[in-house]
Amino acid sequence: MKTGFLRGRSASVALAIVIAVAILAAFGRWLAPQDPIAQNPYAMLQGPSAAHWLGTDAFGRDVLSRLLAGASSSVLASVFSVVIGLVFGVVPGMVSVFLDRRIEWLSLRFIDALMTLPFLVFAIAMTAMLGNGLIQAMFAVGILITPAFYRVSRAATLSVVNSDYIEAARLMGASTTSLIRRHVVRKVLPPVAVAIASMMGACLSIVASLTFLGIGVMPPNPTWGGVLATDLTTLYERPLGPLAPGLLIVATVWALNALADALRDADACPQKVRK
Amino acid sequence: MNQPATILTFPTRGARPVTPLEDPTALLTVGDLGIAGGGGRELVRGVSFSVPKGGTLGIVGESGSGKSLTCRAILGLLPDGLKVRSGAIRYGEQDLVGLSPPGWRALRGIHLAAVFQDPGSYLNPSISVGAQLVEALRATLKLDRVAAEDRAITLLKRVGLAEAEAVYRKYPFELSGGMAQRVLIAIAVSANPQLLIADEATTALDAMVQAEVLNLLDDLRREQGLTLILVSHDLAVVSKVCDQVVVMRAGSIVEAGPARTVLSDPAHDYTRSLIDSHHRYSIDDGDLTSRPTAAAAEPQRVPALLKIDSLHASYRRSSHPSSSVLHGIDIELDKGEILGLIGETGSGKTTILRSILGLVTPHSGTISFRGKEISGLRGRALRALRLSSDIQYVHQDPLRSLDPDLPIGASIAEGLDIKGELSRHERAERVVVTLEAVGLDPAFAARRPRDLSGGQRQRAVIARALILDPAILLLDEPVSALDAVSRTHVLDLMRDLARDRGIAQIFISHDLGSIAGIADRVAVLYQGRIVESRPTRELIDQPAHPYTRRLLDSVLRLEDDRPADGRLALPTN
Repeated sequence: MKTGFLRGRSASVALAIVIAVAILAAFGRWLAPQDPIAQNPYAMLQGPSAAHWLGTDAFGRDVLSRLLAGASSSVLASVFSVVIGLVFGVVPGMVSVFLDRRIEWLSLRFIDALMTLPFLVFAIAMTAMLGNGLIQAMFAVGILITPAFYRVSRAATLSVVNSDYIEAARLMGASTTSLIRRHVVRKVLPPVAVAIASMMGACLSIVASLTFLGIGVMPPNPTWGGVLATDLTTLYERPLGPLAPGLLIVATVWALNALADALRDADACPQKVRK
Repeated sequence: MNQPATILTFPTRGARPVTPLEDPTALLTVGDLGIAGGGGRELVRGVSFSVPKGGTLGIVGESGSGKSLTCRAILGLLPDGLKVRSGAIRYGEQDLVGLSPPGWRALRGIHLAAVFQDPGSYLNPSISVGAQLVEALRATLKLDRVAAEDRAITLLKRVGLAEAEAVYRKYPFELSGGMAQRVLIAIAVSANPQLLIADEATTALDAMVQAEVLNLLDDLRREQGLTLILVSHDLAVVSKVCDQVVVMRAGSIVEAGPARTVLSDPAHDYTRSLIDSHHRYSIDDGDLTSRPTAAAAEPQRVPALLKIDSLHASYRRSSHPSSSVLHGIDIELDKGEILGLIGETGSGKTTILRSILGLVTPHSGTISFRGKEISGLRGRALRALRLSSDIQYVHQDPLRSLDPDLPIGASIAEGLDIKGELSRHERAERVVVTLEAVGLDPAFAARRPRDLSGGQRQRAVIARALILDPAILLLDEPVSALDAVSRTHVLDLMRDLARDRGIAQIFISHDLGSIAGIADRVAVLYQGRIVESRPTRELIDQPAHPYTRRLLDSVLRLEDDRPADGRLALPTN
């Protein structure tokens, strides 16, 4: 983005966390010190130790390894949803401004209707219809976050569509496609970048919620929400167990939201104009 | 702060020995002021002047000369990243440089006040005029609500708004430009400030409204002892209102002294060039006499290039609240002819241009171009006409009509790009040629609009139209935001385009000087009708319609002696 968006300390910390999580998502599987699904009946429900930094769960699996290995499915699922949202939200949002009034009205009402659907319930319904899998669930979530991208790109387009330079281009015979390509896309990108960061945060917590409920992932495979869920069942034996997965989820979601705020603030800074 | 007395004298430049303006009783003294931006770039340096209580100081200079920055420094309102690097600003005994925020709050509004250009943007559109005045009064004078409301009405009457109670309840978008400027002046003087800074406060107003606002400022000066600093690029305005004048260029003062002396007998070359540019395009332009009169401009046999026949239209644009209506407009435009279009705000000037462009669908009447009807075209036919690029439009505000994200070269090439006729290389070549034709360095192609001055941007916008080789250019107030020198460059360019390339033009301006300087014929629009349309010289020598007479009478001339009572000649309705 623009230089200087890292002015605040929280923005720098947030960026560091996001980069760290991205690295985990890419290489977590190989960074994991032990096999994340190997059960060890002799080392169940242990506290932190040199062998198991974050202890072991009810099946004797290394929690640290499960969290590291689970990063990729949690993050990739969120990315998948956001990409679905981008594809179905951004371009229609820009185009809607240029459409015939009635079609524009219809598209807006369709988006309004999507916004009324609750994420979790819709995602669970989708997995019930299409089969239990993270892809199905996150596809549903992606459809549901489409309105956020649609609204953001439509608003940015609306703010420039009446400008004199768009009118000038129209008067030179420019088609809608070339107007969007030449003038609108640049105006839409900054707010969409903000939306991507904040929607990543939202999706990540949804993935965690779904996997916590056991939706989307088959049991032995590690996910952040799943680790949290198993740790919660053994709260009595390992009272600090849920802390590690919980903090990981909270920190990542916070970092993405803080990053979104920093991007938004950087974009809101008016550029100086020579008088 | 200890200031040596010598700092108050002007830097010695030009032939005239510098007249020190300083005065022990000065209300405001600026001494050796330097303003710098990030990276230490100096934007203003060595600026010194002083204004006695009740005095009037004019600051003139081209855009980017530092006159507005100097005023903003006085008000403590420098844009982010700019700082007073050196020198002192003293208001009475108080040093204003480095004043704390509470210190500023005690001064602003109560001692120092300001009115800026573009009054609309300084009023909150969602709050009524009265509420905004009351807010100011309660903040500065600590009045209770009832007293503040009373005083608000009195103030609105004071600034010459006859129906003060009605204006009190109105919202800013319901006001005309002149009314909005009066409201801003009312807010500025609401707490009886000592010093009022008017930065281009009348630039966007037509001659009649401008004269009224200047008279108002002058009345306030005489009746309340208001001290006035007037920033303007219009020399005539400064010569009317100000005792003293400071001429600025590139961040420093080139000349200063009594207004009459400086403007009638300038010592510095730059002042002389400003005055020459001013005379170049004024209604007293010597060139006018050589212009063909009605007799010489015989009706031509060839059919007109553009013909508008009894056009009726009404139109409302979101950004222009006053809906304007046209009642039977007839206009003919020949190849190479420049038609000046004048009339008050809301009289329908822009609506005529927008009807020609197909942005407004007329109720009745016809518009034909090269004998072919073009009014009421839609869809494919309209787009085909636009792609033929015979008729090009130049918007009023060059900054808003250029995409801030695109380099100038890309904006200029846009029309060619849309037509898709030339290769990338050929397009780039055409951009260079066109930039040169409008008098811009080809290096400008790589810059963004914000890096250009107002005059350069306007030339870039004209270049965007020219690159398509149009037959007709429609220009909506192309020079109203420009200083005298840039205005001269743009007007010279338009004149050459008509003469050398035979490009016909319809030219809207509220500045009669510009119209007189380049138009072959002038049409006067009043309440949606053309009340007279005649060769320029004839119209200016013998205006027939009362509205034209009033408009011409309110034009400020540089040479006029200021009347004894200080009133500007103001025509009665």
